[in-house]
Amino acid sequence: MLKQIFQFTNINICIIALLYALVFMDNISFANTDHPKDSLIIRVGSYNNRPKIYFNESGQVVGLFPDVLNIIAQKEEWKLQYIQGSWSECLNRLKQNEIDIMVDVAFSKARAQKYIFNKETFLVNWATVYARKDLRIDSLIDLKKKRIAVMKGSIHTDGDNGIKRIMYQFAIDCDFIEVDSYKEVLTLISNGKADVGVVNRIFGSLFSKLYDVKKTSIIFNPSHIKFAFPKQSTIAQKLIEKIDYHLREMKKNSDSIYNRAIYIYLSGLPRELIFSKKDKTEINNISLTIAEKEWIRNHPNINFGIDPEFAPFEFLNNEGELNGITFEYIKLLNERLGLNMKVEKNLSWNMVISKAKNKEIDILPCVSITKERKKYFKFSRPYVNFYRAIITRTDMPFLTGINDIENMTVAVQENSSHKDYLLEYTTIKPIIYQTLKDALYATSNGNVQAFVGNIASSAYWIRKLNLVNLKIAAPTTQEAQTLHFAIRNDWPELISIINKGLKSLTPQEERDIRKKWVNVEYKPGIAPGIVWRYIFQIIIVAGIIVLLFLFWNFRLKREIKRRIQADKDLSEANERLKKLDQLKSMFIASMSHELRTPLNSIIGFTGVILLGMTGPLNEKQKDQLTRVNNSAKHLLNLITDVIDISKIEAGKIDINPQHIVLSELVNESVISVEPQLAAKAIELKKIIPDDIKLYTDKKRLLQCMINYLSNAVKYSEKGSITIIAKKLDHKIKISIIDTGIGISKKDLPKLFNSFERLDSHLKIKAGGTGLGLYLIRKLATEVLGGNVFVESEIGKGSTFGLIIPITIKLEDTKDQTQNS
Amino acid sequence: MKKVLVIEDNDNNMELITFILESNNYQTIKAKTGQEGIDLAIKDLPDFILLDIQLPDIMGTEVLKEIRKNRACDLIPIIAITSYAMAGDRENLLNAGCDGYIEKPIDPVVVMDQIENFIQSRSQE
Repeated sequence: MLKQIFQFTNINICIIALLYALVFMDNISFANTDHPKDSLIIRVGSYNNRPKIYFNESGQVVGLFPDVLNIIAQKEEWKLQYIQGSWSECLNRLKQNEIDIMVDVAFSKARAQKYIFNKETFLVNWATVYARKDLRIDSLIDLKKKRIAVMKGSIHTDGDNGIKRIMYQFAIDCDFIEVDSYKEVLTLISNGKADVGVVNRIFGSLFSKLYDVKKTSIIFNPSHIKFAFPKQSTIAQKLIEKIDYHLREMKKNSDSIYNRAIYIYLSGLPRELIFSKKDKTEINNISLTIAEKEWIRNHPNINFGIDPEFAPFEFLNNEGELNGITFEYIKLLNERLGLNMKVEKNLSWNMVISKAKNKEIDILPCVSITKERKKYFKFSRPYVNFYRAIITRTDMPFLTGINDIENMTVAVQENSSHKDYLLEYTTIKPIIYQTLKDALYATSNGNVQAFVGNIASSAYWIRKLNLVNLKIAAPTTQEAQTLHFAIRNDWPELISIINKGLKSLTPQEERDIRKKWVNVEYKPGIAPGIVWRYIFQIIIVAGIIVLLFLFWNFRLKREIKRRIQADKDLSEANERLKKLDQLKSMFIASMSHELRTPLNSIIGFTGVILLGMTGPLNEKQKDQLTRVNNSAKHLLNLITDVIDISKIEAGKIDINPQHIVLSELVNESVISVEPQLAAKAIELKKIIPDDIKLYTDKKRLLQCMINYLSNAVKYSEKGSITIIAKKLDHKIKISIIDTGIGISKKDLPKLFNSFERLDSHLKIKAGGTGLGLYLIRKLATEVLGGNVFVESEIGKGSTFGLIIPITIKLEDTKDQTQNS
Repeated sequence: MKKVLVIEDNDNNMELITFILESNNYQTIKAKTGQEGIDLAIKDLPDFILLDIQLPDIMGTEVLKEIRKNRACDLIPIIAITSYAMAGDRENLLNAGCDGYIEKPIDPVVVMDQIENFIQSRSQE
């Protein structure tokens, strides 16, 4: 019986011990029996993809993923085994569960079917488009007709959201050049065989500097990169849990290996810095003192206030997020100095100022120094410039500077340095507006004539508000104004810290920031556009004036030419006339001489013979010679008349006034017609007062008288001829009245014309040339300075006469000459 | 008998004048050209000179002046014979020193009277 009890107790103890072991030793793993307590060996798939995962010189597996994974493994006391292969090999192994974890796997629905992914995204990767430096590529549209280099097989190329799909969806025509690596993509762009190319952001940020390319702002196809695990893996869940946990923690800590690794790898900085004791400030060559570092630690929350409209420096975009140059600086300073400067939103600039003065706001990150502000703030070194300018409407006259607006109404923004500037340095009393926008609107509407403000922000708002009637008229000075961080004056340490942070920015970084926000570089000076416009206008006006002038000139020249020509013609005509005149004179002279010379002989010799000087003559001889003599005399008369008329017409007549007693002259004239009178038995009566004396050309007056008398006798067959002279003022009227055949009324006007011989039965008998009366008229008017007259009636006789001035005046005669 | 120098280039005129003069008891000296006339005037010192203005070689007015230059010829009356010529001749002749002028054609009836009038007027001065 005892033996039985002993056996039973043994068995019980064994069972209990066993149960105990089972209960308390459940965490024994039976899979591996040959490693120290609780160590998990994880096979990690490894391929070459710097900087995500690669070998360093010492043959260690390093990179973004390994460095982080190692830390996690350290904490979890895992042992990592990196198993090298190509990307596809790794994925294959993962499928076959030959490795436990694969790094750097972009999550996709398709892959999620094949593998298990952890939850926390390690990194978001995306595709970035790089382009030739000379091309302007702002959006996908700009890729039209471009040659795009892409990596074969990349999800950025062929995936659902890859570039090929996108270009197809947008219907943008382009050419794809497929290459084997991202390196080749950038190489093709560099040497111009492609216009643009697609690489992932990590590759781009590390290596694009080595190529002659520039980053465009086109990104697409974001992919979440996680860890992948075999579907059949038994440890996957455990790994996922731990990895997610650590990743979450590391992401929260800005100084964690995770964050440092990302920062360092993506900036291309040396890997050692990830693990060094140096913090970011040291990485960026910022040497803060211990006191300063402590200050930073003691002030974890710093706030700053902005002018929400102060574009492009500090402003809120449509979504109410902070944008601008200052924002970039703040970001960088925060990062590099480990500060946490945050913006106070929803405040107007005036409110910000007053809060800052009260130290409710710590920093004004973008202000210029004014006397007023110096009372409340301390200023950092300058970090950005601006030009202060005068803005007016486009229809305002040309300005050169601040002096030109001294007498204008000038708007300015409240609490701006421009207001202080105007008050301090000019006599202008500015009209104050609460916001920049209000001030610009006022200027545009004409409520004020000018606005003084910051060129960059004004230009931004003018563009944004489409105030097309505003222009930047002139800078206030040629110097740039500086902008600084203004810090409450009881925090002097922060000044020093901020200054050190500002110093750490490289010139390239500052340029990049400015380029991003400021499209327009303002150079002091007049916009070439405006200059050209003015020059153009002036040229046009000047051109018009010149054209008018030339045109006028041309017309004048033409006129002058014409006048000169007319003048020439005139002088030529004159010359010809003169020659004609000379010819006439010569003609008259030679006519005179030549024609008369033979006549002299005829008249002379026949006269001599008839006088009996050569001997006695018989009746017949006398008679016939008399006829010859008479004929010759008649001919002489004709010639004389003709020559007289020629002379008068040529103006070559001699006027020889002398004192005449009229009665004597009349007697003389009668003598010449006495024979004819006697022959026709016509009585002659004279009524001439003896006291009439004249001063005139005797010969010509005689000529007229004789002609008239001769006519009177010729055209009378009987009766009497009466000569009457009468004084009329300064003139003498001499009338010769005959009782001849008379002249009809219709013939009267023609009488004194040349070569007029009226038809009458006496015409032929009378003889004559028809020049007699014409000559009398000419003589009377042009030599004697008087006129002729006639009265007559058919059958009753005629009265012919002259009215001549008692004293001949040369002006009288000359006038007549011109009138004839 | 008085001597008359007649300077005339036309034959007919010369014949006419000299005939009239000779019929009136004047002795005539004939010169056919101006130069000849000047020479004969100086050489023969006639009682008066009849000068045809239209001479071929020298202008009548020139001849006048040339003769008058000679002091011996100062007192000799010179009568010009003109043929109803151009304006201005009369003044020129009188200025040049002639004592009168006769117009051609010569009227034999009155020419002697004309001449004698002129001669007397000169010698009366």
